[in-house]
Amino acid sequence: MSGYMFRQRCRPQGDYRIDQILEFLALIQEAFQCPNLYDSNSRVVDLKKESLLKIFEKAAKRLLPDLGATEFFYTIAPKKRDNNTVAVEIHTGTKPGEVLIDTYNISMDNPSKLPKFDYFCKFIEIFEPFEAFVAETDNEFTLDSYNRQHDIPQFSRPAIIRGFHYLDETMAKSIGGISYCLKAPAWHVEEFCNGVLIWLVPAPFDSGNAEHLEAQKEIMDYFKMPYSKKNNS
Amino acid sequence: MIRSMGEAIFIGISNAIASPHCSGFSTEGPCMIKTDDQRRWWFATHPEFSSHGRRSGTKKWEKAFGRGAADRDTNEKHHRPTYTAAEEAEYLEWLKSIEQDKKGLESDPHTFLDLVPYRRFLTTPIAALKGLLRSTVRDAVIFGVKGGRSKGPGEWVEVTRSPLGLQHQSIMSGKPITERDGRLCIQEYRLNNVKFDDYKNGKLYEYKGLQGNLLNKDGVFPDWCRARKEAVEEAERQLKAAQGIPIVWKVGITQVKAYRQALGEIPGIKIVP
Repeated sequence: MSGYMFRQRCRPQGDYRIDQILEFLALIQEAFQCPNLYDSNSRVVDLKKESLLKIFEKAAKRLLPDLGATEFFYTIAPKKRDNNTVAVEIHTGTKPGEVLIDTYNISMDNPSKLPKFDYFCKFIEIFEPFEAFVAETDNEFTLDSYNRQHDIPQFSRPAIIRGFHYLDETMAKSIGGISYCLKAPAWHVEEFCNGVLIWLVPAPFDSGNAEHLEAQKEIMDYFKMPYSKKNNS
Repeated sequence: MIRSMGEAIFIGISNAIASPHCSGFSTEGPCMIKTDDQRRWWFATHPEFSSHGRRSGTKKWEKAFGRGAADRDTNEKHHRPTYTAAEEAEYLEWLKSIEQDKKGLESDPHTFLDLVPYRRFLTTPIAALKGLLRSTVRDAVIFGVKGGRSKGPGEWVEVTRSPLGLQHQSIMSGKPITERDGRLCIQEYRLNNVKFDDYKNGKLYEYKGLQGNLLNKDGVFPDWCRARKEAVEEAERQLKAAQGIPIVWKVGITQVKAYRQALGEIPGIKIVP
């Protein structure tokens, strides 16, 4: 079992969504039981609206303001180089029409750090992304999700189906609609947050588990997505 | 049967002379040289291959039968005197070798393989046409830009860089490392105030040296590592500056997974080993 990454993709609004980020970070502190969050320089982040806004505005100026700002937050100070660190990667404030999208990701190298899946549902409710999922590092690489996703313009369709996968109405429509998704062969599929939430298997997806891989193949066949790894150069 | 290196070279070259579609040193195949006289003439005009140009025994038996004996019907036994058993055996061996030579020098029927050497007449124009469509050649023709680098929309500028990874960048981009006032410099491609390691064939390149010690057991950047953040920021900057020009990040084969995970949400950048 390799590490996990929870990814949330949101359509750009041209706004930093500070209130939502504050709520998100507070929930992260609860989920990972960490009293503080740290920035890349191992300083404790002041989780107040003004401070956060300042951080993102500064980051946006450093890059290109229209593209938004990327900031990383850590549950353990990075200078400690602890493998139990959970990293929160936020890209926000992208203006509509730009090539990038807003993302609110959580990276968990250590699989034992994976919190209860209820938290992921709460994260989705905060940002209302168009797509969110828990990706397992090995599985992503084996199925070449990177190249598959980049072949799809504007992230307009899911590239593969993961163990825990949320699609909003538009995304669900791209693979057959919500009613079609609800009939998908998975452990549990439900309507959630104006979209559909697919739980492929009852436990966290493990690419070393043949049953999990079989379930993934079955659902991808159902959505007419090629399961085998693409031959990319 | 080939008995010496000189003979092998002779047969190969004579085949090549006889027929341009004969591919080199083969003992079989078409040949214009069929008689001993022709063979002697060839060796006479190509002294580098043999000092005498005649196979062993030829002089002796020609003395007995006259010039051109080898080219006459070798079964004309009634013309020759009686020899001892040893001489008879030597004579027969000589006749046999001549027969083998003649057999070997006869033309083969044409096969598809005979056309293989001519494929260049097809492949060369196709390669030339493909070259014209490539931006390097196109720019060379239209803008008069020499060398393998296209000018493109940006410009080449000399920048100061730290030694770390500079050699890798130099090898990959072909740009030499120079020293200015004790600092190491290299030429990079500047586009919209953002620098890329290279620009060629209409694509912008970023070369990443090996960073194996930064990766964790899964082959990705650890969560505490700043390299991921730096990669993301660099990719975003480049993406904006490129304005639709494809960007390629050439990374070490062991780092593909790490960079693909780090830049997973950034479209327009291709990560290749």
